[in-house]
Amino acid sequence: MSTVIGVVTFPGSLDDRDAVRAARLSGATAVRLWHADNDLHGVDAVILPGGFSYGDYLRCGAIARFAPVMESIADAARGGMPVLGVCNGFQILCEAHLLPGALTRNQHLHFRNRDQQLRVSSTGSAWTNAFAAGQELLIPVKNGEGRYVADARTLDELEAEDRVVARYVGVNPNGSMRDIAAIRNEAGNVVGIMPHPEHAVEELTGPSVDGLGFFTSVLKHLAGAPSLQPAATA
Amino acid sequence: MARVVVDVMLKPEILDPAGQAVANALPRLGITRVSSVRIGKRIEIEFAGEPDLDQAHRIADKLLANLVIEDFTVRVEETAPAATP
Amino acid sequence: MVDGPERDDETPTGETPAVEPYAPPPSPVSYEPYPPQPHASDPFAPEPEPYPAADPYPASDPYAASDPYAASDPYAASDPYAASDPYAASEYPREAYSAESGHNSDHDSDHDDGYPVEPTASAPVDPYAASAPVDPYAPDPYAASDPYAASDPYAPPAPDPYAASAPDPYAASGPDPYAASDPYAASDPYAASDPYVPPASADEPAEVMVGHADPVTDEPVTADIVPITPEAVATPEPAYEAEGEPEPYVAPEPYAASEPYVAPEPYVASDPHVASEPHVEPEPYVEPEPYVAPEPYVASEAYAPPVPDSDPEPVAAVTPFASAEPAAEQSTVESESQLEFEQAWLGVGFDTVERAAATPRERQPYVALGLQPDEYDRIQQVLGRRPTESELAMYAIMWSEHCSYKSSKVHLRQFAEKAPPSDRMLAGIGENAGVIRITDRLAVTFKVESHNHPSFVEPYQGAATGVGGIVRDILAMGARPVAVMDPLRFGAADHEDTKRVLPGVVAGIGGYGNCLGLPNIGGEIVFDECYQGNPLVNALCLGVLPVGRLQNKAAAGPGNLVVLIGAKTGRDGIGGVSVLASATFGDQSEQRRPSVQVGDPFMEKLLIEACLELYDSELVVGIQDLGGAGLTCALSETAAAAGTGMSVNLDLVPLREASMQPQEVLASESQERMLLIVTPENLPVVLSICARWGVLATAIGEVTAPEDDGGRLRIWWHNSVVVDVPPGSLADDGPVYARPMRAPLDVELMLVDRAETLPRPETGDELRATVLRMIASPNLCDKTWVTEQYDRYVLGNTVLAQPEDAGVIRIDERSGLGVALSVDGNGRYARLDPYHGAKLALAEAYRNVATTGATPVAVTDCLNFGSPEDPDVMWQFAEAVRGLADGCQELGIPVTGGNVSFYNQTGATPINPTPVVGVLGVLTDVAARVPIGFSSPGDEIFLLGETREELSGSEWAHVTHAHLGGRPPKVDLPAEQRLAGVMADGARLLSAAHDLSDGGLAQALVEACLRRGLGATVALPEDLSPFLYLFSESAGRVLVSVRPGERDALIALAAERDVPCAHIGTVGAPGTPVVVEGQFELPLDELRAAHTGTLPALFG
Repeated sequence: MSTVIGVVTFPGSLDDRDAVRAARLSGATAVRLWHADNDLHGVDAVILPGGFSYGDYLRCGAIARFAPVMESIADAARGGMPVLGVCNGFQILCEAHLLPGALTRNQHLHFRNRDQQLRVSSTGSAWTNAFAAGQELLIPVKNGEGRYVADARTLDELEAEDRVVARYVGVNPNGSMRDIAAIRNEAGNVVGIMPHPEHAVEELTGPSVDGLGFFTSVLKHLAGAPSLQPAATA
Repeated sequence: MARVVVDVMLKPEILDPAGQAVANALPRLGITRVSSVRIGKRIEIEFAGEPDLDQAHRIADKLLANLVIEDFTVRVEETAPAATP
Repeated sequence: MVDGPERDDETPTGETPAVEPYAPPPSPVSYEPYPPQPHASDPFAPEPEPYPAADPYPASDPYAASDPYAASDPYAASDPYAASDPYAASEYPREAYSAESGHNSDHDSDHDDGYPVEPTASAPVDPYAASAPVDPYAPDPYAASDPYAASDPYAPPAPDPYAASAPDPYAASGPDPYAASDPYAASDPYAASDPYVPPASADEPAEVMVGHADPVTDEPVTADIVPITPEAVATPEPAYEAEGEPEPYVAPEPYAASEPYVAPEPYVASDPHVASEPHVEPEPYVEPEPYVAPEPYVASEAYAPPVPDSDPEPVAAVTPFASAEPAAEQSTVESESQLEFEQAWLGVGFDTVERAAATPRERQPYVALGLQPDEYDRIQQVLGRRPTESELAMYAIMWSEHCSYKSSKVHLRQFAEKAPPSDRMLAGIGENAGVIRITDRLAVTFKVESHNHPSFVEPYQGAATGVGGIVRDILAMGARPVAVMDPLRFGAADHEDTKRVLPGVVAGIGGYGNCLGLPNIGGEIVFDECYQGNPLVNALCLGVLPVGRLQNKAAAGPGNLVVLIGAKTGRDGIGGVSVLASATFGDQSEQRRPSVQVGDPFMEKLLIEACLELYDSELVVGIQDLGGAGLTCALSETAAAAGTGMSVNLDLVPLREASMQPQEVLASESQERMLLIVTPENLPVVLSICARWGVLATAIGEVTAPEDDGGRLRIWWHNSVVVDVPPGSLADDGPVYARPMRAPLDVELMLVDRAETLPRPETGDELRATVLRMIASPNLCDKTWVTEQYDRYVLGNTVLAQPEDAGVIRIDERSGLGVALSVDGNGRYARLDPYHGAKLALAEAYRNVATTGATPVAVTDCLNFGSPEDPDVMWQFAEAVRGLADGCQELGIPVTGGNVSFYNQTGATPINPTPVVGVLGVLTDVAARVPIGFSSPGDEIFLLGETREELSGSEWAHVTHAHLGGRPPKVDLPAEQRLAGVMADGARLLSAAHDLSDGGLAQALVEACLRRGLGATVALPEDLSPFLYLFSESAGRVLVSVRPGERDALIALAAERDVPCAHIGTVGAPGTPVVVEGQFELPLDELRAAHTGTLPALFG
């Protein structure tokens, strides 16, 4: 029985189908989860996809974090279930305080969609252990509210504990502090990432296939590969 | 008729590029004495019956403001009755 | 924020009503014909309430078990890609799912086919449902945690486990946490029967009997004795494990109930240890007053005004049949008395059919509404009386240019008359959008529309609502929208107003399209002074549907119900209709301000999903979107299409503002609304599906059988008929004008003012400078600043997007089937010669599609012109339509639908005639598509097609000399067809292909090099000057590159098709310059800086 990855759909989620496709391409079985259903149906990992849940009303992810499924996910995450929040999913994870900091409006005030160079700065997470430390990836980034902010203490803590998972290389597309593109929680099972790895899984439609590594990582992790303690730093 | 008004502002240390863009646009209108503009949200809540500041405070705390990056204030505001001119 | 179960506070003292079983709220499925639907789309429900109305999985949902769509995958049923899912076959056989029907007909919950399992059919334990008879003596596990239990002195209490006899209505229900310290225990009238004995001290736990007396022996049953400690009571445990059920009730802090319980003064239960403090004689217990409801207000007497000297104006008496003077303070909410008033005073308030028949000579402002006197007479003839105000508004709208196409119909007929035969077209002109079959099972639909004028007024919302409108047209055909494109035209790039309009328009298209989840795969950005006061915002949408899911707009089947779904109706876009000011209560003209249309993409996203689910469930008989002209258009077109009539109760339309008049409701252009025709049996399911998606749905009327000579559309408002018209007269029988046409007087002059005679650069340096200036000019520069604001990746099927020649979308993941789309137009060519200009636009779009390797199959158009009352413009329009129709006939691809936008002018100056043409092509395998960028050093570069000295109307003439004159380039459609054949057959030979259009070969060469960052060395042929080769804009040319081994195959293929083919150069290594031998060298960095710097410098 292959690994089952659940992809949550909120009203307004847009990249859930792409996350499902990416999960399948990586070899997992993908299952769609509905926001109002707090049963996780036995999935092994969860992806909160990108999109405009609830129209991004009030703040991105502010309303989605109160969905019934989020309570179950929070419990499961505390129990070690791998959770990947992509873009809007990252925003939801921060609003739900499963990850520190917050995502705010892009510094230049525009929605920006471009193919972005990233560097993997930590392989010590359930979602990046398949990469080499310092590996560079080309992944699309597309958001209007992707600027990661946190107070200096939190940022120092993230860096000291090797919890910055990926950083922007070249031009910072949204003004994120310290070029942070992705972070993880202390245990390493919860990762939030602003760019969209699920859009870089096919040569035909993406700028590269570098995104697959995120999904194969979680398969490795669930298969028992030790990955949660930071081994090498970028 | 009274309602509760919640004002949500970014914390002072958070960069506000939208406010900066507005401040940069003011010289074009001939205004040069403005040193800073910051943009927030104003949320108006009407209760059935008397306004409940405590509950409004809880609403703001839990939903209306992201305390990581925002502060809020809550107050009661008298409104004129919805007028038909 | 969380309430406990409601209590009945009318319980008479001393009685104990039976504990009412908690009835779960009614399921969203309603069996009433016109249920008032709560607005279930409120996203601001922070706490997960028990069984909220929008909850798709309420425990009491009777459909939960039987509904094949209850599976928590919202997309399973509506997924057009599901049948082609390449991963489906590898898991489990998919025979239970067919793309045509879209039904999960045999959904076996044991199947794990990648979709979530259905929720279990058996209802989970409902803590509130009295499923078993309530044991009156069982301890109520919630009593202590219910904040209202103790505070409500009239609560029928859960039986007090501490009372052996009749329960005390005033005792706190449940274990009394203060009993240990209750100084009144001795004075309690129930104390004698109360087995509770206060402990010697607060520390010693008390043993109490929890349980009941055995009814036979009357002995206490000791099996349930539970020692009670303050701690145990302080933290009541939940009596059940929530299993697969949203936690319906979050117990607040214990003893929260203690705060509000103040009714029996002065007992304040705040501190359980109060007894250990020095005893203070409290005041005696006072029984609270029985609750007496306040007297209902009876307005039996006229309201007596206050003393005159303090109140300058006496308030008018509020009696139902007062004089007709407006009561200034009268609320506009329809109260009982107002209804009576209006009924008694027919005609005051709103115009009804009855009144219209009775007052034939009443003057009406039809001219202000845009109707001609002869049109007004015709309306009277059709109706046999004068129209009511609502009818007048409907006719004014439906017979306006925008809806009736009265100036353009005579010309647009050519599209049908000259239409080449096509066996692919499933729906054509006249439908919401054209539909083209591309395989046995799949079809695509596409259309381009304009939203020009609103975008000048309010750029963001105008553009956003433009995207919303075209998406709904696609949705109304039964398709899932999958891509958008936007040809945009603005005034001069450096003009101040362009800085206002362009960023707003781009942000609006991005904001709306991105939020809907539609990739933006192409379009145009053109700058020209003629658009300064009138920017053109055209929006195209592409949709995919299984052939069996094609919808239509006919309101067929008398007895079927008319259902309005989507956003509430407000005053958006009423515009001129507000001139109809009926006499009403008070002067409310300020409240009647028409408002700018504001789009809500989130609501549209929910609407899309709800509609697709309705289609897949085959619940829809007919569907029409509400766009321009709102309900008027939807009701009349659907009824007219079926030849039936309709009865509509306008009171049932959910309104944003209560003060709206019927003509405003009918004219409103509020966004995000659709009109469905459903059978009465299907209505409950339709409503429940809409509720699940949070989409407001209201049945507002029904289809009626035709009477005598056709159907009648009857609309009621406040129990009076305000509209009674034959729908065909609105929708089909609008006026048709044959407006006078005359070629503009300057046509001949312009034609002889040829650009070929202008001074031109000669030397290599001059050419070099010209190239740099051209690629940096606003029309030719890199548009990334704009296109970066659009999402191109969402849905994961975008194979090619801007700056490629055409947008390519993959339709079928398994087979690689895809479609290519391009929209093109050239206002300058059309200004010089509308006939050929339209053909050139068609040729360009056709060529762009063919260049990617696709086969063009269908055309859509958006015709943007000035005022049709100007004979010059009318001539331009007629010529352009003739050119487009002739061109389509020659190319053998039909026009499947389109849009006309007139009145695009600033004052008396019309814009350049701008026919924008979109062409759709089919790619059998998207992997074979050919991109524009050179990709491999050493590849051979060829120029296909013939280059002539054609500079008139060119970008070079515009940039260098600001010149517009001469004849546009020659258009040779058979040559374009042969070229397209080479591109289709040669797709697998080619490594890159880029068509030549604005800016000529220089532009194409630079773009092809900059795309992937490779240089090129080119030697231009000798038969024309290098300048002409670089900047001439002859049509029918493509720049291609082939791998060295394939060059012979390409040459042979071109020769076979009689397409000129000239080898002109070789692709260089990454980073090497672009070299035109004998003329100049341009390093890529310099090119890139010039090309990409313009828009950021202009717009920031």
